[in-house]
Amino acid sequence: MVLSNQVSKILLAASLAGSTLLLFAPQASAQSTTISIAGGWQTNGINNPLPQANGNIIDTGLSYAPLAWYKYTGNYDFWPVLAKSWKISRDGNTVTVTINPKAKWSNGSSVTAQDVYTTFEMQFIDGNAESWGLTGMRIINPMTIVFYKDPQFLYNKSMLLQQILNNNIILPAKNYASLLPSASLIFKTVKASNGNPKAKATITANNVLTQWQKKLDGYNFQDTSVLLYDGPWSFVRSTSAEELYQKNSYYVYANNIKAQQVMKLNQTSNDVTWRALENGQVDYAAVSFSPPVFKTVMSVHQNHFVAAPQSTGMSLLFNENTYPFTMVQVRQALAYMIDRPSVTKIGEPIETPSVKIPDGMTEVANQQWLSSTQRSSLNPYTYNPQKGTKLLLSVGFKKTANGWVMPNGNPFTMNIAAPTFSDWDAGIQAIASELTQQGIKTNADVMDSTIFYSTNGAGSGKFPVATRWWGGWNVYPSNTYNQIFFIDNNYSVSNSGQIQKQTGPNALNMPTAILVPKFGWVYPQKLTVAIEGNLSARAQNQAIYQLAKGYNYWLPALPIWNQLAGRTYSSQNWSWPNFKNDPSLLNMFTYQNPVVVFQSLGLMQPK
Amino acid sequence: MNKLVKRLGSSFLIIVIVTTMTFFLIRLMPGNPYQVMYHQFLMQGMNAQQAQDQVRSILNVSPNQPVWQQFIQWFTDLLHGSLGTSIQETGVPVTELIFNALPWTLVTVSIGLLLSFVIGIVLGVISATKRNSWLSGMIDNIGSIAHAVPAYVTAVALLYLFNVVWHIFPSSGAYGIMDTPGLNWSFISSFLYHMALPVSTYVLTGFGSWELAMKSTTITVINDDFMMAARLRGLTRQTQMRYLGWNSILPLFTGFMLSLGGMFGGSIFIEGTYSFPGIGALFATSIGSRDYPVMEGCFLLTTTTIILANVIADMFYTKLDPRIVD
Repeated sequence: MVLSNQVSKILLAASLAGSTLLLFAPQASAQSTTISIAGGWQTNGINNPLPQANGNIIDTGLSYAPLAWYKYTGNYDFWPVLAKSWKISRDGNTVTVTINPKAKWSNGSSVTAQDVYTTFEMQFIDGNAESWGLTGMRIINPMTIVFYKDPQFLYNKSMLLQQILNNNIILPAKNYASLLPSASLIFKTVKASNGNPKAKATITANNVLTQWQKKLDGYNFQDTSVLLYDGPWSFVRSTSAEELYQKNSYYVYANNIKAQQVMKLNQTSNDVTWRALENGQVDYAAVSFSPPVFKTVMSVHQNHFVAAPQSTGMSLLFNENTYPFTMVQVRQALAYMIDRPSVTKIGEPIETPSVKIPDGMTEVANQQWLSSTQRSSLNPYTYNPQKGTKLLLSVGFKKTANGWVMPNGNPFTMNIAAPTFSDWDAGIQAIASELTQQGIKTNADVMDSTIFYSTNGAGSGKFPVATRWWGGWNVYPSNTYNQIFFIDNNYSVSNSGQIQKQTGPNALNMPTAILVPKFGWVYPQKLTVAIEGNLSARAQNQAIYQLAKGYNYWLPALPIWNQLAGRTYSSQNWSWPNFKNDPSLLNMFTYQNPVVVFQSLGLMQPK
Repeated sequence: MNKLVKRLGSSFLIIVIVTTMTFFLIRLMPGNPYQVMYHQFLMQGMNAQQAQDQVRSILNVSPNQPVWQQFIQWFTDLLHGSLGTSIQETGVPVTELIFNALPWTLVTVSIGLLLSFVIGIVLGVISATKRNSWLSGMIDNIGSIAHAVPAYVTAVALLYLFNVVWHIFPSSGAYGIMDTPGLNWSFISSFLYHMALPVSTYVLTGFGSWELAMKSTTITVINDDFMMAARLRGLTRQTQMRYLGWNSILPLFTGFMLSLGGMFGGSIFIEGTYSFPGIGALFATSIGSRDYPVMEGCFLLTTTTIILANVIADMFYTKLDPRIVD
């Protein structure tokens, strides 16, 4: 009895402690004009200006703005942000940008050409600007700056504009200029770094550049109050769980911004965001789901899923150094024998499309760059094991009771190497099972992704068949063809467009010319270089079509699915624009933070 | 005094051996940050020399430097009081990362450890003194289950119940975003509120082992001659319980001290689940990114504190229990 009393006391004390703890619970402070986001996009530009050791991470996409946002549509259009206007010369070698006089920093001072100059000086130090062919800049007046491109350098107008206007957030000279060496020293060092790679002067210049780069990338402002922002929300503070941003009333589109605050959840793992979505605490999230969680999340708090187009996906890369993948018929046979829609359903069960036409371009890019007649002339390799069988028999393979036997008398077996991405793992397990059932004993060789990539992954040439990203992460097809025909095939192109074979690992060993039956010769490297440059619309279409045709016949890789950007938004607290019928708005879910763009354009209202 | 010096000397030797072993062992883990970064630069179009220079510049080490040379450099830096800089958080000293994470871990784990210890001791004594009753069985079963369930399962279960289902406690972080860290009530209350679930997880997963150990030692002590003598002498129940409690708790002292040392390592699973910015979360992140300097720093911290706690336990044990000869 005494003991029971003691137990009761303990329980009572515990209840009291629990109740007291609940009293500590801070009152909900959510305002109707606060928008909560999780995961998402960080614009290229700076590493992190805040002291990272204190757990501070700034979402540069929220606090800084670029000159313009690219719409990623066929008409090369932009929404202006900090720039009022821009002009590219007819030859594509100079770009003149005029800053919007209304563009201000968070202290009310104007964004000037000097800020743009400083920003791009950092891009020179990082070695990025040279990769777009830039050679220098000149400030014409406080609000106008001109960029100069090397006339010998192959880089088309659309890509150059995209790099200058869209891909770089503009940083304040007031914060960064003092960290940089003088402009003349920067350009002198950059020039010296491009000399003979073995020359002492080049090596020294490269070392100097990397030291500057290290200083810039790792620089932390101990006093964050000195930081200036030109984006819609200024960074306020962060914890290990979330970040707080306050509306920047000097932002160029400040009148359109309805969210006074942004609360950004630190997505340390997917389940952190899943829980927040289940609790109705997030208005927008960039997170992937498992099917059961997807169902639960979408059934509450007016959560909706957007599958935005993305220029990438999973493919199987065939190493043409390895028998029997040297034979085009074998690669084509495998394309017929793999049921891409079924494999996609297993690997990416939520709204991911399988590849319709394996030509190296995503479906969006196909629609954009090829006519319907051109698309219909490409082979979709629709699942048809009989056609696969026929192709294998045509090159001397034999089907026995124990499976396929190669012309050299050995059994036809396959090992598909892949990193431990759960979707890729599931996908290649499905492919392995499918092919094994058809008599090609296939093993899914899934390895730790660090090991896979520490050996350079599929690009190493060490695996006969390996999984590979495809699509080039851009709607313009030069990236995707550059990846396959140059990087994986171990070719390089000089700044002036000279094609050279490199020594070292070669994952493909593709020829430089492909004879496509009933079509003619296709020269993949030459055509890839051509579409990097400035072509007329007709010539561009013809070059892209030839590349698609060559890829579609030769199948250096077999794209399986087109990865989509899975995003979740809630219409519980905010109204969203009708983006479903507007590709430019839909693209923002993939390439930008849509909350930033939609709020800036005045397309989101609090409910 | 001589004994203490000898003990500290041997402890230092053990720390050196353990940290040396971990230095080499973690490099046997699959993956290598130097090679990964080196290949990333190659893929970005740099030539081999440029990529190597870049990695050397960023990581302050050559990608192809032999491990023994890396060890000599690391050990020399260590003797000069430097644990190096993080690979992931470019340029940030490891000591800064550790000292930023440490307070969060120490506060939560020490509260969790003390609570679980006290609860375990009380329940252990109750279970031992009522060992043939239903209450003892119930306490033992609860203790065994709580002890057996992995910490990450308990953490996820608590999170699901108290955050997703009942919306009582926050799911992540150490304090609210609106609070400024410092000695102010708003921050302290927010911290207590945020640490409720992590501390509860430590308590739930920790008290079972203390309870079972305490019950076992109490049963042994209860049958000792001195306890029988106390009963025969007619000492009060309160005095008997004091004799019993004090003598039963002694064997648990070493375990408690080791746990105190171990708490510097935090809990990877618990801190990870609650996005709690402690040493465990730092350690987990460093393993994921193969951030060798941070991993080595965390290992060094845990090793040193456990070994020193062991030394302290040994020194104090003789004072607490005079039967043990110094």
